[in-house]
Amino acid sequence: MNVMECVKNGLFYLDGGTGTSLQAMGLASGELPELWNLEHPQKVVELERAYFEAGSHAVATNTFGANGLKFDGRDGRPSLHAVIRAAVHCAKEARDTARGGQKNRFVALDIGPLGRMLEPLGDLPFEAAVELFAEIVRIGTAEGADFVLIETMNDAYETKAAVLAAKENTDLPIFVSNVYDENAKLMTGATPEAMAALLEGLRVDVMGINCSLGPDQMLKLLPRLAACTSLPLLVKPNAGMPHSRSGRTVYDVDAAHFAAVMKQAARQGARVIGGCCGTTPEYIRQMVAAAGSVEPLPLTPKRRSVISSYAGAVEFGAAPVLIGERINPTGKKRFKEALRTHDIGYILHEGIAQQDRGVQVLDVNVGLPEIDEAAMLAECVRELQAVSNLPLQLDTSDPAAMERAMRIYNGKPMLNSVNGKEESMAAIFPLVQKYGGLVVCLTLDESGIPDTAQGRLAIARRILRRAAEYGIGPEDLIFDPLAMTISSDNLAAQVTLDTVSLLKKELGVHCSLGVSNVSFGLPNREFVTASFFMLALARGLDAAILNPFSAEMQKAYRCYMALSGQDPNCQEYIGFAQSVAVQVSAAAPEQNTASQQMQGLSGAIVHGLREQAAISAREALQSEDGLRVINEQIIPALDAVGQGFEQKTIFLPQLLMSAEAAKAAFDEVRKTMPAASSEGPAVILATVKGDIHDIGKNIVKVLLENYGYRVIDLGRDVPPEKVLETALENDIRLVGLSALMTTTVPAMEQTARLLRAKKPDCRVVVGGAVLTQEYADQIGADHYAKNAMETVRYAQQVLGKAEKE
Amino acid sequence: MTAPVAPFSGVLPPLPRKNIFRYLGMGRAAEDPAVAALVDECLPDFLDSVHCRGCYTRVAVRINGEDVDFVAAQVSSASLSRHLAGCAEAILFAATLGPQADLQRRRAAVTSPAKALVLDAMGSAAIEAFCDQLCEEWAKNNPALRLRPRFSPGYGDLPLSFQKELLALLDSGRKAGITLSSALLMVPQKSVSAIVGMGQTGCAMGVHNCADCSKEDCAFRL
Repeated sequence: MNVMECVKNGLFYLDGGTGTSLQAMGLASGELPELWNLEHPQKVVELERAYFEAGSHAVATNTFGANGLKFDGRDGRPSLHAVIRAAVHCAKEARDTARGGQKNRFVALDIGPLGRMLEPLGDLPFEAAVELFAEIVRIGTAEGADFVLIETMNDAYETKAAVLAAKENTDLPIFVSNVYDENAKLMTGATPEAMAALLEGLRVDVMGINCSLGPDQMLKLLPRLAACTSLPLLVKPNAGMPHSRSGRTVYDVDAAHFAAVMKQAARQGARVIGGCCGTTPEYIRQMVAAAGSVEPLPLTPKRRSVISSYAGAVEFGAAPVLIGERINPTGKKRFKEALRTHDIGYILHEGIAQQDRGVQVLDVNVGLPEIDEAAMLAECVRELQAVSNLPLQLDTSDPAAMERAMRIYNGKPMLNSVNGKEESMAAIFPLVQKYGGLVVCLTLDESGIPDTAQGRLAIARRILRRAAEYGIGPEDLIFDPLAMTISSDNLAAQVTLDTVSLLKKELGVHCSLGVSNVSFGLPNREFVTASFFMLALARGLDAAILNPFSAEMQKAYRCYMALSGQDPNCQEYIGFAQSVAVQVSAAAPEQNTASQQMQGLSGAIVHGLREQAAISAREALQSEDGLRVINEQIIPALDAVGQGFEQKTIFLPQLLMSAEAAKAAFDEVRKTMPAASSEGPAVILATVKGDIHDIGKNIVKVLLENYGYRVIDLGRDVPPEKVLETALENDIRLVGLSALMTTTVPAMEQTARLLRAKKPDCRVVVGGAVLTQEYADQIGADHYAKNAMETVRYAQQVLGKAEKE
Repeated sequence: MTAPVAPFSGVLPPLPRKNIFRYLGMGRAAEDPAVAALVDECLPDFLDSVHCRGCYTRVAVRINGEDVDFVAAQVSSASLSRHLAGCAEAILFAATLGPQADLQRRRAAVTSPAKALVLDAMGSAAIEAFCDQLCEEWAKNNPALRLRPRFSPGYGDLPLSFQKELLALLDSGRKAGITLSSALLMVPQKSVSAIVGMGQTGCAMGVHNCADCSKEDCAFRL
């Protein structure tokens, strides 16, 4: 039998600890275990042979920490190729020389974490991680490993990088095991449901859990893991916790107890079992003896319709799922402007604001004819998944943009969309096969949108059949029967609603709708949209793409949940209704006299009261024009706060809160004024290459914006060339650079020097925790700003005072 | 045979409110109501995001001039050597609040930099409080020894690059999820790695007192 036949046939036994066992054989702490493949191969073989003889079907190569970051062949270190080659040969020799023969015994290419955190938490780019893993996979496959064992992964994104590398470089089966804590979460937050969505989407062969926990703790997590995956489940606990006893390391779970618990685990759904840190061949021998009599639970397809983010999963089919539609330029001037000026901050804000309004998924559409959609979509996905834990719906009609975004997406995405056209399915389904995804399927085809529910049903059937040919089951499809506007066709809504009913009855599939379209061309659109939404929910709609800022939509959703018995004790409804009541009453006492309003807005800004500032600004604007509100109220308040800060009577948090309050007031003013075509002079801000701390840079950004400058925020870890390129492109005259650590000051110097050489008219202002005037002089900066206000003052000196709007 | 590196997880001790304000640079100012309200608003979510973890090992120390030898790692540093004088052993450790706190701060920065600043200050106060708690516990468990204040790479002339050896020795990536970036920044950001000397004699670990320090323009002075 081959590996997967063995796994499907019954319990499959892995080995126990390698590093901890080698330490017991004399490996010094701090010494790299992988070096023993070359320096003491016979000891490695001895250990691995003992595992085979203890009953392991598979032994993992001693390559847990073998990657190109550690083994680069330089300075006397061996090459990665030499290490992996020796490791696979050790494992093969162990198999060939073990008692009991070679039958049903396998060598697993062991792949552990790289030891560097991926972006956005760390600084290792996703594709760099993929390439590092790919190198391991290529060598291990060429040397003759039987399957790939990606283990001890504590981050979903790194797991995905490793799996992609394996898929792209080998045909061997892929086993994936993650480290969960007692609360069933990976270090970076993923739940078992999220990992199951990601890994099943990527079509791995086995998923599971190892390291960190002892067998008893792992057993408690098992039912949850078993419930969420259709894959064979791998379970590989530690022998409890390590302790030092008279100079020796001992683990607190002994082999007998380990074996007894593993037998339980096998009864509860574990199929691929072994041990991790602290377990030895004796643990495996007893485990095999104890579990041998257990018939593993059958492998059953769970058919869950699910998508995931780096942290959590969203399942379709239970409560209706709300998808936020606001990240989309259609009909939105401000959003188009943000796309053109590359204002990612604005787009992120739209995402977080929708999340705060209760959506569970964010639709991301950044298509605009004059921009590079593929690059923009990828960037927005990267940035959004760095700040939001909601799954994303990738919304593009460009398959190349779709693929690029799917590849770097940290989870299993929702895809918007395919339709019944052959061309559409041929472009998107292979991507689903490779990266995983839940696909929105529009019921239209080459001949357009059928007028009848039956016609739309026929297209749905065709899409289902075609998807099946790609190995995509109905659980990974969600059908959108297309809501058309009733202002041009009176029956449009009825046909759509009937199609929802028909799709559910005839095909048993999930349905989603972009509901807003139905009211196009009508006055008070929200009334119609919300009512339609309610009707569709009653027909069994599983998801809706909608505007969560619409009070009518919120109302419809909350009421439906309460009326359909999905809101126990009407609790959610009551909370919602009360929050509406609060808003109404909070607005009431604001009916002040004009003079109090003047006081009110300035006061709100000085005291850092954001909501109050917005309310006061709205009121002031009823009797004053925008420019006067700015010049007579907002600016004087800001100046007072700025001076207070410089005189040390006001501190940074207060300065920032005032800045945010002023921004809220500016936003209100902006709504009343014709769209400003150009803003003040532009300033580039960046945290330099190698540095990922951006809190200081963000503070400077808010203040500069307050003072009317347009900030081009290049983010963190920005290469010098990127700063120069942007400065040249936009003819920038002031660049602000931030660095927190002494180790990144050289990158700051490089950036400053590059600008000096290639854009001599551009001034460079630097700041950050380790910076001093002396440092700033040394690295050739024009100015050292001790704090955010100083940067503003310097900008005023270099660029002149900016006029807001 | 060296002692094992033991992973640990812990519960964050109560966060002294004055330390949050201290890391906001307001340690000596009167509590501002708006800032206080923001602190109150952020605190529950912050505490939810914290997962204190770490790992430590107890090693023998040999000092020869400026050379300090921890068996599995060696470093040359006059200030560390002075700091560890009289210690035959040391605890090496790394501790972190975990990555969720980083993600939360990043998310807050999108809508409110003031909130992000407050969360950052809470993070600094929290990781220090967690380390204080660890050190107090080690002191309690070793009543015969005088534990020195913790000493981290980057202090005095102990090079920041010693992080590499220290974290490798602690296997901190696997044991506690703490890794280094190419610029030697610890990830997650709110992490501490340090050396705690265990002396037979000499100064015992005391609570840090700002009045003892000569840096009078320190933004965090109380």
